[in-house]
Amino acid sequence: MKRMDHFERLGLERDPRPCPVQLEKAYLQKSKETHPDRLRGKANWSEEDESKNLQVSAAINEAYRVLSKPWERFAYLVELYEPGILERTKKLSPAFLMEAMEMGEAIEQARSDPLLKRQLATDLQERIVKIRERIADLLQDPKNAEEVGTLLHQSKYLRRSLETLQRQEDQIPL
Amino acid sequence: MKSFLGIDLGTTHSLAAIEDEKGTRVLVPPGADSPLVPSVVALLEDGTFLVGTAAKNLSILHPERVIHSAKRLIGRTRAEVALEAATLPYRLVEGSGGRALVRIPLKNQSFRDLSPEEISAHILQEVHRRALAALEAEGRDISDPSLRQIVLTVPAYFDEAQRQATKRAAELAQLEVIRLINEPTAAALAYGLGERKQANIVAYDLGGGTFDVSVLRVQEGIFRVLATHGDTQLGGDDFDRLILDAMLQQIENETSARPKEDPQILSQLRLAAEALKKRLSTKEEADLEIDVSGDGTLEFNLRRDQFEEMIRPLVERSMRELRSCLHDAELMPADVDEVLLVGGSTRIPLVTKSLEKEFQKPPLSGIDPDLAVAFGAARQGAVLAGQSEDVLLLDVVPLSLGIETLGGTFAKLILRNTPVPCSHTEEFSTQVDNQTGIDFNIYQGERELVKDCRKIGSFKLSGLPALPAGLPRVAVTFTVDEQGLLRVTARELRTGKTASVEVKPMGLSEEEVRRMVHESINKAGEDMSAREAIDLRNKAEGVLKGTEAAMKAGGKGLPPEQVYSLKKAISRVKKALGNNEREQNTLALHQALEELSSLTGQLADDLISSAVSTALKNEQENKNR
Repeated sequence: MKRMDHFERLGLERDPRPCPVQLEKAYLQKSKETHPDRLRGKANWSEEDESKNLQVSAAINEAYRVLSKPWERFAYLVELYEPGILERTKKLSPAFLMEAMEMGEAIEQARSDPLLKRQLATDLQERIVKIRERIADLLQDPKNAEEVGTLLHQSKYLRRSLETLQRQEDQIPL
Repeated sequence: MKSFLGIDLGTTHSLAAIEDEKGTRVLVPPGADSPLVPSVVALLEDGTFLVGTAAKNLSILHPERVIHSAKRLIGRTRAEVALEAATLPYRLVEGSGGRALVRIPLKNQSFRDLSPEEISAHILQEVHRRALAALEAEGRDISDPSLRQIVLTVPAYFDEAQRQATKRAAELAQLEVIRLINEPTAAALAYGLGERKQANIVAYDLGGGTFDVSVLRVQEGIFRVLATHGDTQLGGDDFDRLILDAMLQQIENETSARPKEDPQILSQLRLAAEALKKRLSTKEEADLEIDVSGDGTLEFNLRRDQFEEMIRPLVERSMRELRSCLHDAELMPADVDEVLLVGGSTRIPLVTKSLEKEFQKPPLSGIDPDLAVAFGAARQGAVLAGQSEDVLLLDVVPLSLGIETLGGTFAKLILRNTPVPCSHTEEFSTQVDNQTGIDFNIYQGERELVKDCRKIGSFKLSGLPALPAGLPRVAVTFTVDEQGLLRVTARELRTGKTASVEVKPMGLSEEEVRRMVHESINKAGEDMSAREAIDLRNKAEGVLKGTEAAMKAGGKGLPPEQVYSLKKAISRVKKALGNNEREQNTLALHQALEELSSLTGQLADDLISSAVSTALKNEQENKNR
């Protein structure tokens, strides 16, 4: 028997941009069908069924968790297209690394420069949104797996930078 | 119509409810006036147990043998409750595995150690007995075995060890837990918000000993918990203690009495503090007159604003938990549609004021905060019995779960606020050649090192194939079921063999529970009805002693009609008792005791404040002699 993937578990098509309302609806519907509470009252309930059912119900929860978060959903989908792709695209290009280093310096400087900090945060947010939309577009076609892998690794770096910047904000009153 | 009983096992009181063709309702036995049973157990010198109001009344006479707030001890170690121990009138000792036990003195310098599970089992048994009596009076056939199956509530923030221990308490009471449900989730269910298309709900549950807050999203009958936070050591008990401290301070400052050294007086002052707190929920000011012979009369006065200053840091603590909970649920206060009040401590005006300020809207208060949890449990009991298809509860793991890895670090395998059921598989291997077993310690908490988390059990993988180190591949699966209970399974991937896993919980082991239940069944074999009659006789004598002492101590201040009805109830108990065992009318005794208990329950608060003053006075006289 073939193992089901998260999309199949929720009865959805592979889609990098599922409609949040439909995703939630599918999740709640599947929960109604598989939650252990639903089977307990039934006449033919057995402990073995319960244990199996628990795993099914847990998988539904996990599917919703992964698919409802864009970055996790992208990583999951690209691995479905091409298993192991994220490991193979791990190495960042020298050009990106250079840029990353400059970014790190700028964040360091922003510590004492509220204006620069705000500017950097806005820039980063914009770039992250752009990269997210680009990845979602690329994921329409499994052939783009490699490019998606590379972009996902870059996005991780950008998101971490933004987090660092925002955490600084907590320390220094603007 | 089949439906399971819902039982709320609370820190200060417990109760049962049911949902059937007659509707959803709390169960009150004939002769009793309240569904609430104080969660108090007393062990008399001869080994007889008293439960509920009867036990609470005895705390004036014998504080050292009256156990309250056992819920704050359950599933915890003696070391963890050290802070509590200092303020409890009974003695705490350390049992196997470091767990907390209560030591009660018996005849001839002997003693008995009781686990919090056993104490809770007595409470559950009493609540269940009363529930059956109520159903029997309605004409229901109570031999129906499904009436021994219950939905039992626990604080949402209870960890694995506390949940397991609570479940074992029910097993000891020979009740089968069909489902544990979280208290705030139960309350949300009770409010019947299921018909809403979509609503975000905050259930703020401040009880006698525990605080929980859950954020739920209700969508057409599905109650989905988005996040839960809490503190299992925050509740009304803590507010009482603050008032008590202020009382003690004033007594010591203004008189030569040293009440701290006297457990009897300390216990009475504690009850008086509780009564004072309750009065401050409706009045701006409350007094307590304490007679101290030789030093004259001492008046303890507390204004509501003073009380609010006292408890503000604790209420603030709960509000911080509430904000973290909203944050985890990714909601802003304005996104919240309803705020539900659960637990007796939400009657405190400062609590409702703080919530109203936070959400800019008054909290819902349609259901008695003392009853909401039991209502919800009963509703879930009907759902599980197949009465309803349109309600579903989806809860979360309250605290991250994981195992100890090298150097005492905590590897989290399941993160807090993950929806249940959930499952996580991790691969492990051996470290030495031919190793056939691996030991694991399971922890729960949010910190990075295991020393800052709670150990909730351990397990051993055994029966691994004898292979060079690192070759066996063992997949260990942690599954948390819909009740928040952990199961561990393991499989060796090379051989496909299932490794055996035995999780050892921190509290009573399954073996111990089996033994204790077995013992009680064996005893039942002796002669159940004779034993019951004797137990009831001992119990009645204990209740009479407690009530008469309380009346003697505080009777002066009671209105004559109350004294009259109390005396009447006492004489009925005495009549049913007869002069000896042969004359005893057991059936009448049951009824008479129930009546007496409900009367003293009503009067407890009034009695206590006057009893305190008299007891202090006696104390002084004894010292002066």
